[in-house]
Amino acid sequence: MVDPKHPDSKQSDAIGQSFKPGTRLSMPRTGLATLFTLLSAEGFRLVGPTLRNGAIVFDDIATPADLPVGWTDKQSPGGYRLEKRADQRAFGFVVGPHSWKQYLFPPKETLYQATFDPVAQLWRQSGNAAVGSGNGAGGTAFIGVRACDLAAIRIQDRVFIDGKYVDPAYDNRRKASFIVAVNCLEAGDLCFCDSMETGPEVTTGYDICLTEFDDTFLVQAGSGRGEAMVAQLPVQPASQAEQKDLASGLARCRRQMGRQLDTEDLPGLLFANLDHAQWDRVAQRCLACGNCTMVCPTCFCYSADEVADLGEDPAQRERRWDSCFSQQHSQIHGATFQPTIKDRYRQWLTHKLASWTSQFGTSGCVGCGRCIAWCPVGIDLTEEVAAIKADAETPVPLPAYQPVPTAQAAEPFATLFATIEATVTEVVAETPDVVTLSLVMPRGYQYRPGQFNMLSLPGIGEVPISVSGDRNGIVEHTVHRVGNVSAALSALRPGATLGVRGPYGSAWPLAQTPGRPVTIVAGGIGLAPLRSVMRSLAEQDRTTVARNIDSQWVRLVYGAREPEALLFNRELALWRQNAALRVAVTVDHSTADWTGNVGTVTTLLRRKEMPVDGLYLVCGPEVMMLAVVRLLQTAQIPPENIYLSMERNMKCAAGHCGRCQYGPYFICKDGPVFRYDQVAFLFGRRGF
Amino acid sequence: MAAKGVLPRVGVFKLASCDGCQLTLLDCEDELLLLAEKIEFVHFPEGVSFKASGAAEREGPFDLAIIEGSVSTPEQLQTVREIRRQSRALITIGACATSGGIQALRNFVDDDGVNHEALQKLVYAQPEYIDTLATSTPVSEHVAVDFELRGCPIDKGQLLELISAFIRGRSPAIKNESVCFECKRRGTVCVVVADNTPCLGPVTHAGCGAICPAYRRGCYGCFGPRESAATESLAAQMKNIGQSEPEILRAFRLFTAGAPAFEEESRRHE
Amino acid sequence: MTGTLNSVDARLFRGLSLFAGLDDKRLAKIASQFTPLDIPAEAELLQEGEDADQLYILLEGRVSLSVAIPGRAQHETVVSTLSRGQLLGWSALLPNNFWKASAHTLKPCRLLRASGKAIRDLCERDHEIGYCLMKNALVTVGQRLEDCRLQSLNIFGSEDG
Repeated sequence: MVDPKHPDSKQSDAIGQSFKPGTRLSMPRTGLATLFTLLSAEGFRLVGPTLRNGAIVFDDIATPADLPVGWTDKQSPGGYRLEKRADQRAFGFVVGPHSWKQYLFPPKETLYQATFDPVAQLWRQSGNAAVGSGNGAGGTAFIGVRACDLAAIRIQDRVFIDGKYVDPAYDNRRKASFIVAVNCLEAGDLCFCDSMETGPEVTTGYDICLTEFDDTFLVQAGSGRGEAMVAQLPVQPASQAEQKDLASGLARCRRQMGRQLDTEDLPGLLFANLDHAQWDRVAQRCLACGNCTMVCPTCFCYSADEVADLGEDPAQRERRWDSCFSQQHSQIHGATFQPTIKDRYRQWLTHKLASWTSQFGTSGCVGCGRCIAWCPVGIDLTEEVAAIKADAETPVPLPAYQPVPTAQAAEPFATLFATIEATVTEVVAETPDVVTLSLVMPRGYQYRPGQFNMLSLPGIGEVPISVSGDRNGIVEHTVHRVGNVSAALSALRPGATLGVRGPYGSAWPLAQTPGRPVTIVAGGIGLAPLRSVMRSLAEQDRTTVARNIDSQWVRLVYGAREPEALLFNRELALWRQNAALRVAVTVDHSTADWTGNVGTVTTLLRRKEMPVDGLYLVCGPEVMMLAVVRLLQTAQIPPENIYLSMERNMKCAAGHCGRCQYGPYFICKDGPVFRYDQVAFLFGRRGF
Repeated sequence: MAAKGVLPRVGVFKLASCDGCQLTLLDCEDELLLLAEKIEFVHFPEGVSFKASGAAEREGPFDLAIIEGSVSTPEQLQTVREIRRQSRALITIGACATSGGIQALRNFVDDDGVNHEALQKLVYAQPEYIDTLATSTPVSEHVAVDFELRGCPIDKGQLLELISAFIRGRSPAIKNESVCFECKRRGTVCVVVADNTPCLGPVTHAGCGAICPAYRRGCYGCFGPRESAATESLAAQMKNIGQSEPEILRAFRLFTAGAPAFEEESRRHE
Repeated sequence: MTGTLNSVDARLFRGLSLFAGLDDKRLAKIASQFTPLDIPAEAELLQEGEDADQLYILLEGRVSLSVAIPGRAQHETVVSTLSRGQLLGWSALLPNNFWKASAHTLKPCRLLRASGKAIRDLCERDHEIGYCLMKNALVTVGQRLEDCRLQSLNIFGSEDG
């Protein structure tokens, strides 16, 4: 049972696995230098807080003298100042603009490289994210990790290594890290770890935990290797006075918190108030500069781009920290789903405080206060939430978190971005800008209709393409030429090879098709992911108990822009010959020789029978799906009988890069096929 | 893309500018030699000796035209249209070509009741030799532009990225995001929050790698406004930290004064 | 070739959405106004701009509605098609009206036709019939408006073309 307030992770469990935290020991201040020496001797790179350019940042450190001894931070919304302390504490501050994510999830990283094969005249992917992983021969020791930051690391573990797909670079770095945590006895001006129940006390997921007093440090081991290191430090049992000082220090810290956040029912409440006036008010101030997401220790969204120079150096795919405040985050060909600043701020806050709970089982916020300090205009999310809560609609239910059972963790494509090489056997030009590529896939490759593969051309890019069918081990992908990558895919000829990984995503509910009428509504390229469903249903009719043509018919309602844009004409004709299938086709704009229907799919669908017990599968432009869903609802079709396929910007297809998010869902792993009742609260709403 | 085996024909053109962006291309040094293997510079007055810098028609057609400089004279207006006619793809480089440059400051003079002609008389002893348009405008105001590369000057790496992407047929990894993204990726401490320094980073298009804040200076906005530039909110913030109206106006009226988002904001502080 | 009044099945009328909600007596009154007819393919039924004086119900076949765009190579552009059970010529429900589009048969069609004036007079004399017909026609016209908006949005293209 996951407690939404106490984030843990398999990695942190691994660190502290079956380890009972040791008793608290006391060490003279000089012991800190010993600890540094021991860590260096074991080959760890030491990183920790140090002064630079007016702030306390994280950087390489060698000795305790590199720490900001005698300094503290004074923070306010949009303001950060250093101040001298009255004492000589080495850890007498809270958090600065850096977080530990810059070491575990670096701002820029090569995902893989590709080399050019001059004989075959194409780029082949070589290696995978092993390139550029690791931060030093023996790993990295993080010195001075606060409880909030420790919780943040565990939260990012959930994203990158505890899901269905594992990011190997993050995994390697995480396993090679050594955590020296530190308790906070003084709360910062913007801290609210108490509200988020992530601190101030360090409880789990560390190797060694320190508490600083004027003359001594309390030391506690939190893992086997931590214990081994503590054994080499000049320690003795902690005194009663020290234990009391720790307890009272933590209690005082909790009372002193600079900020509060009322988290009761917060996820459902935010999604119930998407039209609250506060979003407009904050949008007047927000610069969409992205600073909050960059300083946030849990934000994980990234972009992936081809980086290739002119020479013979290998083409590389690189990932960089990105943010939901950027335009490219929600942009696909010809559409931006979060065009305004209001959309983006709302996306950020609802993700951080609401969607995250459905996605990862905890809040995404640890209460560190960085976003408040480092916002140039000083937006304070605790104030924003309070303003919304002041006059809010009742919370709505959100999808529950589904932890991934450990057994499933190792999947064939569990290593992110690693592709297999597939060969093109046939290219069919369906329309002037749509082709179907037939690829030979390795033996054992299986997909379910509705799923997609990532097709990769190193040096050009990688895009998600729905599987549109399969025959004898050949898997078909129907590609609409809308951009550079799809254009390059469309130009491939039989014999060419490309990188493929997949299948990803959810599938159409074929198991629910027997024994009832099925209506398939497709628009444009939307017929592609539904083609294998049609084939399967036609097949069903032949191999299993035949459908009752009168009460268990299958109807296809298919619309395209014009006659020339209709896909799969030959197959449409075949389906028309099947007595159990009813095919109705229409176009928006006719040509001189077209004598078929002219009008939208809704015009056609309106004229047809729409039984309430039928199954309805819909795929096409979102505005079309919206119109179809409205029509189905007018016909009293229950939402559980309607399925849609959604599309958003996608880079990793594994639920890591964050771009394909649709409210609490990742379209790459919770979708692209959704049952309508899952998304009804968002569907058609602007800004998602 | 040019036919296989034939190198893409590239023309580099200069309108009203300081030449710094073309110089960035020459600054490429090693990469320039590589470039010369991949593209054919058919017209590059600064880089390659020609008898005379001729009209586009003489040298064209071009697979790729690169234009530096703003449209400032009637002749340049014609040139830019000729270039577009002769080019399959056209990119503009630098603040002049993408926003009108510093010389776009003259676009504002009519507000003072001093019109363009009067300004010429003020500046030149014999203004009858001067034939300029009243405004200095970006190339995109006159012809369709396939990509605008910002900068004053442009960033060498970005230029190579753009040309590589063109040759390869992929999208260039050049993002319309704030300078703050680059600052934070570098680990620079924010000069606004820590030093109360005025900085246009949040509204400025990334590309330079956030150089100035790395030296504890505020961003000058050389790369022009990004999409969704919330200049009004930033101006309010600048006022809060003690900037006067004239100072705020000047901040938005520099290298990319002619860019609409910056122009509108500077006008609010007149 | 037209059939006689008796050959028209009252049950047929019962199933048409234009007449939903009418009681049997009123339905019979309405039905008596319609005569069936068969039209071959590629025949013109209505001409854009002409007086709207007939009401049609399409029983079988397909009819195209087209609009003339002067100067276009394709002078008549088909904007929509109608099929079984649909009303053609709603403009005739209003007096002094004209056809907003031309109509042609794409396949051999069987239709029911009534004089627009006769139907309008019937509606004036009996407001129950009038209200019912107008209500149902409004639903149909409203749906067509909704669909037309979607059709005009170029949903299969992108915002930049």
